[in-house]
Amino acid sequence: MRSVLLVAALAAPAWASGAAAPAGDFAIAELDLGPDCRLPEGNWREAFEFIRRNTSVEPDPSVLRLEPEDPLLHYRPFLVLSCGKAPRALSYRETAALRLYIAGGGTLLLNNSSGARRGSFESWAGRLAGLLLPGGELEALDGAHPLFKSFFLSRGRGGRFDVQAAPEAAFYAGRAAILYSANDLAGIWPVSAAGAPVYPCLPGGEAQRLEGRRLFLNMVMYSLTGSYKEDAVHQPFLLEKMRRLAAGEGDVSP
Amino acid sequence: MTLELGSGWGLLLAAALLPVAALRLFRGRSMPSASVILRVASFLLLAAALADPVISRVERRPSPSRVAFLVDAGAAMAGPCHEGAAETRRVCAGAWARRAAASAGEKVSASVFYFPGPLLPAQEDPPASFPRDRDLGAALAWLSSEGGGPWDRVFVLTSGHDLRPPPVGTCGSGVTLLSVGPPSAGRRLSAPRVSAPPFAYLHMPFRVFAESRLENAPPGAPASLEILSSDGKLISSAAARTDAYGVFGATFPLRTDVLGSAAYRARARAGGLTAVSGFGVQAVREKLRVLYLSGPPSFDYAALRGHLKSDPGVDLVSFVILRNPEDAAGVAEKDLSLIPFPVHELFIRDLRNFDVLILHAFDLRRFAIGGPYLQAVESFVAGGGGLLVIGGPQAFGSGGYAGLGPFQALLPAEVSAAPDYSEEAFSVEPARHPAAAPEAFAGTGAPQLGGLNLLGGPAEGARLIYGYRAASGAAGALAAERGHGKGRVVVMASPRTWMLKSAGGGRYSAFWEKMLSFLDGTLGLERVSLEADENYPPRLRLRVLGPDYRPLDRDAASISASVSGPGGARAPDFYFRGGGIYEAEVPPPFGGRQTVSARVAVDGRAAGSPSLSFSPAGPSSYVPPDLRALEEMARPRGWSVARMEESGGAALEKLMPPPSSTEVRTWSAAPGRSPWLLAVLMLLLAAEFAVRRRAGRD
Repeated sequence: MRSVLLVAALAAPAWASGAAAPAGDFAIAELDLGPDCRLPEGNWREAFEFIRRNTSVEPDPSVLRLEPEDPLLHYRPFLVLSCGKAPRALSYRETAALRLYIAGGGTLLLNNSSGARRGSFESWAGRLAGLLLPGGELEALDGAHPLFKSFFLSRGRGGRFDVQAAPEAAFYAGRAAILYSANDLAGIWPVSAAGAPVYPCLPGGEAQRLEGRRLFLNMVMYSLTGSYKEDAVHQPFLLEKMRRLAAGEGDVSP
Repeated sequence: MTLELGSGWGLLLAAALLPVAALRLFRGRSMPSASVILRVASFLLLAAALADPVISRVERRPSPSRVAFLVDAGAAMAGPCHEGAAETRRVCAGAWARRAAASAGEKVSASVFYFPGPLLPAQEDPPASFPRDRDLGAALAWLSSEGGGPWDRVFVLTSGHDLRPPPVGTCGSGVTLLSVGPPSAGRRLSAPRVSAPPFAYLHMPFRVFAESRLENAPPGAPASLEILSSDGKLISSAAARTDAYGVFGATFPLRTDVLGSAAYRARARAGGLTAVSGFGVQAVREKLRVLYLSGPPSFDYAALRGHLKSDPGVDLVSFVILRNPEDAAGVAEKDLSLIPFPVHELFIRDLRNFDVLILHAFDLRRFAIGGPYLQAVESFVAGGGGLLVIGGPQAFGSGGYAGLGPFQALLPAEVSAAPDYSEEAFSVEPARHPAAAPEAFAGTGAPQLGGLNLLGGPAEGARLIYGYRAASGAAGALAAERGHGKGRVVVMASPRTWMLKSAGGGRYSAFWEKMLSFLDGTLGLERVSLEADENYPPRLRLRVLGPDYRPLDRDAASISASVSGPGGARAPDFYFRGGGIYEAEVPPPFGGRQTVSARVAVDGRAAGSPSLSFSPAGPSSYVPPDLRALEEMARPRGWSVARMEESGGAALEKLMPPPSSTEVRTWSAAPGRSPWLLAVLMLLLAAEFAVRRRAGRD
């Protein structure tokens, strides 16, 4: 069953209402591959609040649930697929649509909610990465990757589980375009009506949840800024080089 | 008298063998001796015909020497030929050369040429203008390729100023350089000669060396050199002292921040005299330097930053506001990967080092409200920079831009004083503008954009690049541009062009490449632009773009131009120099303000009709010839130097080449080719036949 939001989005022509474009600086869409891969309504509400509270980014609260061939996919460059076990296989047309999505600048977060390694979803995710990025495969992100410093200084751990030292990624044109988390970064956000977390974080508790939240926010910021933080390292050298060249001095190396 | 055999060796051998063959053929045969004699005589006659002898009488007669007078037609020959003279140095030299050619008499065959013509290295008539570039080597090479045999002597009449000689060893020694005009008697300060690079990189220092000479000056005399901008503003100066030859010079580090030609003047002062000359440098871009300041991170920032980063021709420095002061991370600063936004350094110190500044959904009220920062942006654009302002919820009306006086005045679209950001969908209407890429929004896969600042129409003096029509019915400028000073400002109302990238098909690249090319000055508005170099000799330059807004790579333009002023109307002759550039010398006279108008058509279709007014500099007062330069030119090439004024009459005769003689054939005969020979042969054969018949033989 699709969410009310999705129904609303499709009921009226997107071009007439402007609903095709997200309303803020950032928006999430969920990839709909069946009932086993659907997050509960409002799953990301706390995540949006976390982003809004900590950063200058204004997220769009609406979350669309979209099938791989949905044209609206291209209006949501951050796509999440959260499953506990392998979903159905993708058709050729669906694979091609997701390839175009990645090539168009989209980021796909594959979230494993099972809390286990080497499960069926993990194998499926590895195969999908190979299909979408021929020759590419999921590999653990290096600790120096800009994703770990895109906002918070993150160690890469954190989530509902602690089974993966660092998220894995497959690259398109130097960009970590497909991210894979085995620690369930989607499961850390739901809260009860009383404001308490729905799912416990094991074994690290709330500290682990906070690490997970920071890591997720870093993923969001990475999708919005790319390797900006790498630039930040080099920019002082670049500026100094320009100053020296302008002053008629020799070149400088970072 | 001489005897020559005209036949080849084969026929000569055949001729020699014929009598021998005749003797062997008739030996031992019983026939009348008269018949034998007649037969041998026939064979001998045939042999003589085969040998083709030519008998001639040859006499040696004196022949005139070939002499050429090459008159320098360059800029330095446009001044008076001596102090107070009304005639130009070129007229004096041409008249002298014609007199010399006429007075040389029959002993000399003399011709007068001018070099270089606008299209030819040398020509018989003086060119209409005074070209700045003269290549003596090319003129001499052209002369030697002319028919009529080699030249025995070439006289080059020149002032010697800025003349480009041929490489040593490439021309013969029969050249005499004749200086035109009396040499200097008193002190004279030569116009500074400047060695400047043909091009310089934007924002980077380049060095020029300026040198002048104070004639008859004692060594160590104080002097100075200055570099001024084209509008007379002093850029740099240096004190110097004359050397033993009166020469003094200095090196200047310069820098230009404007793309294209940059004009300067060098001024020398010494001995109470002042001399000025102009020079220019073409400023080119090493890399496009982009300073990209973004408000909140967004998909749009990620897409545009990625586009710029992927271009190896772009040096990108970007800052994005990850967190506002009111955002509470609730964590220690050490856990955050954030650095302060260096607003002061960027706006006050570093901005001039960039070519393009992008403000993307940037809240100026928060980060650059200070007057000096906005003033720095205005100065940046006025100095030649490109400013791109992209909309968003913190920009334009929603960012209070209407209240930022100096900044708002830059914007090429009308900005509301009230918040104007809307999430509504809109359609795009590309205008006829070189920066517009209609293909980005065409076709079935075109995305439906949504989210923009509802700007009004283009501001006064601005041009529309794209219009928008929102779902609510509002319409206005989605993108517009306007020049400011030497730079350009472009506004883009929507922060959602990333959707073009998501849609694929090269839409995003098509959109931004044109926009950025326009912004950095690479893509001009007009297909034809006209420039004038006011320095003497004045020159006109047309830059012509094809229908695709790329420089013409072939001579496909037809140009009809006219220069009008106090001296009347003249037609400059433009010639193609490659890369879409056409140049022409301005025909004299030069006094007063001149107006140039041109009509340019490319492949038969009108491309533009630019016009401009300028005040070209005329030739200065009398400048003595540069004898030193002439001697330095002549010495390694084995040439000689003389003064034109001292080379008339007997002196010229001494300079002329010695007379030569040639062999002339006064009479000749070729009996072997005569029809009489055939007749005699037939007669001999008939007589021999008659003798034999009479003797009773067959």
